[in-house]
Amino acid sequence: MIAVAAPTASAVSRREALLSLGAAVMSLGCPPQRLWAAIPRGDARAGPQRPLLEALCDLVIPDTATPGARAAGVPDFVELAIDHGLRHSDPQLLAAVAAGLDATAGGAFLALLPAQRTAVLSDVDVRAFARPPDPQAPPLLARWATLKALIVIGYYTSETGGAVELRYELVPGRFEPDIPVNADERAWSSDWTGVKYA
Amino acid sequence: MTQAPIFDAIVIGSGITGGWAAKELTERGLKVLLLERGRSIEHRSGYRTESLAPWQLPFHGQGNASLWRQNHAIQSQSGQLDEWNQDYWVNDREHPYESSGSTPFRWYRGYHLGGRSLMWGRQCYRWSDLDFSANARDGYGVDWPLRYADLAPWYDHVEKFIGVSGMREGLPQLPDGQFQPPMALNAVEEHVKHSIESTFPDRRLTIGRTANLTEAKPELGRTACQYRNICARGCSFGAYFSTQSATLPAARATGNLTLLTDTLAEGLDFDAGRRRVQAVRTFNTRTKQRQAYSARMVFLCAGSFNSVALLLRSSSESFPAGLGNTHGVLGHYVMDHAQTVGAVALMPGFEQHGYYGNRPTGIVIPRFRNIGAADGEFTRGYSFQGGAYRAGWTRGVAQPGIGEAFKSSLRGPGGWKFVLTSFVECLPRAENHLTLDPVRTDRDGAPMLRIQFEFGDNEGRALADAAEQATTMLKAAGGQVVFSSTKPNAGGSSIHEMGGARMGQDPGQSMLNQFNQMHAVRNVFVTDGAAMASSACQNPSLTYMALTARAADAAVGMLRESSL
Repeated sequence: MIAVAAPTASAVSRREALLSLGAAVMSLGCPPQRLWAAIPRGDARAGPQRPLLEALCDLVIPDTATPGARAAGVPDFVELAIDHGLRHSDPQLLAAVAAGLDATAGGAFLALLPAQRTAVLSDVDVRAFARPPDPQAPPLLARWATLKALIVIGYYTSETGGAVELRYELVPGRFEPDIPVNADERAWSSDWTGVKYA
Repeated sequence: MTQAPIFDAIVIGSGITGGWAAKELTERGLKVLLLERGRSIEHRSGYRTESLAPWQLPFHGQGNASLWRQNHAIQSQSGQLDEWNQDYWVNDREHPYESSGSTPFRWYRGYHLGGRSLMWGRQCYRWSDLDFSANARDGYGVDWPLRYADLAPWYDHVEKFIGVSGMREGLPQLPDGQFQPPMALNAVEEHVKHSIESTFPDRRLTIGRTANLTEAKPELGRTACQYRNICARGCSFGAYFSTQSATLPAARATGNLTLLTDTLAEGLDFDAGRRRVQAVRTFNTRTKQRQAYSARMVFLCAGSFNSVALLLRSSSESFPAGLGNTHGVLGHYVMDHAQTVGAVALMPGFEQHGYYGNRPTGIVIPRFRNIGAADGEFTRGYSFQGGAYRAGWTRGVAQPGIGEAFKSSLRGPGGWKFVLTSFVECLPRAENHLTLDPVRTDRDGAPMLRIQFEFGDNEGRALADAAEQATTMLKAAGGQVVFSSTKPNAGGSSIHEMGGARMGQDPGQSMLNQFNQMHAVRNVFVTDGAAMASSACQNPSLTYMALTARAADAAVGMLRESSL
């Protein structure tokens, strides 16, 4: 695989990126020191579920020719998101997913071999997105859907996901209404309509 | 409280209509004081988040949900507020209101220089005589005191200045304007257009008429649209019309403008002897100082419901129920377009087609019901807005899968979708009305507004027909309809709230004459959405602007004839 530097992959470099915005940060409605406080500080802040979260990021969006979710810093985003209730997540989300996965695995999920992890999580995932939804579904499935959403969002809104895996163009400068799309076409993370109303 | 210099005119509010009033009055030589209750946001330098990528924002553009629940509990439901533009929307805790309908009214606001002209949807549609004569024809509301011919030159004037791109269609119900070249339809929109127009010869699909430039306007330093479609962050190219990009620089260039931000108009002082408003009482929300300003006329452009609120709280011995409210009409007959998703369809077969760039407008299917003969089970009409696009990466949030295959499935553009949103005309009904809370106030001490609003049966029947027709049209074009709704979103969701100080010929039944001039107080003009006597089904801002420009011209004429 090709190693691609992800400039905002770590919490430290994310803080630097924020600082480099300079005046822009001032407009976010709160002073920079509050933003600092809101930014996860890597391992010092990581909760007891951090190893599981990193493993799940790898399982959902792995490294391929481009870095995956863990390398893109998604665990930091997910922790921040849960702290602030994005997608109606609650503080127990990671612990509940951990307990549910352990129960499904019949032991510690993290103790499983990689192939077993994939099998267990795939099974949970398929059931979580079953249509129509199963009214008897255990709470784990809805919890997993929320956590997976945060991983997906965290990845494609990171610089790695948005501009390396997909393409990003702030100023297209023109509109071409009908262009051919090839099978290996990379989507635009900056197609705001497609992203908003997918 | 001290007395400040006397101005020729005071304009209250700096949004779409206030900016226009300031421009038109200053360009005619009047010394104008423009009052804005919120903070200043200067063109370009004020758009602090404009160029930031999602990963440069603390919450990757998703916003701080817990903060939004605290401060933007209502504003964040608009679907328009995001982490980039969140500071352009009011803090709901600081600016509360009460809503007593069965579904709470959603009042979306921006209290800052430029008001909602910074975040507006930019769609610009003329009304026709089908609309201006609707009240007279079916008896809902009072007859408009003007017709299309009265407003047409002012539509011309406004469109030429703001820049509206669009396609001429020759439709009597949606008159053509002074258009810049249209933006293009994408492949699926072209396909659906031809399908609809061949299946239903009385229907048309055309590109949205939008206040985004396709040709530069160098005289104001405005560049043509760069196809970013992030307009509501503020646009340093000046490519869409806002107070900041167009009317404010024009007004400033005259040397006749005085602008005060952070200055809330608390009330209008009525001089019972002269039968005129003599002063505007203001409250500086930063310094907490109160100050009265005098002028020979007042243009009230505070945003429909806030203009009504200001009149209601400007009571006096002469007008105990609010300024000019001799008949109890003030605050009544408020409206908002009934809006919902008519249909969403998957559009298979176009996987080889894509587009480059982000067009800042969708399409419109103009009204086709009740135009010649009555062919709907309801009075008046509706139109559709929407468009086709390829689903983005967010489809992964609702899709099963993990691992390389999942990642790979989100790498390319998703399938095509077509959305048609229904916009239904809202009848003016007396029971939909605004009052002031007798006790509670907002952060700045202004009495809280109470909004009583319900959509009626006619809107419901029109929405049902709209859903059926949207579904029929998309199916006929090969779409697989996956969602359709007949239930209106909460009142206010269109952000087209209007009425409450309606125009009309009869001073006994209306607040304003054909020049938006108060029947009872000759030197007060209300030219924002409060003046509307009916709602049509078009986006209203272009009509507000044309009415404002026409009123300003008339007011200056009256001033020169000393008849104010």
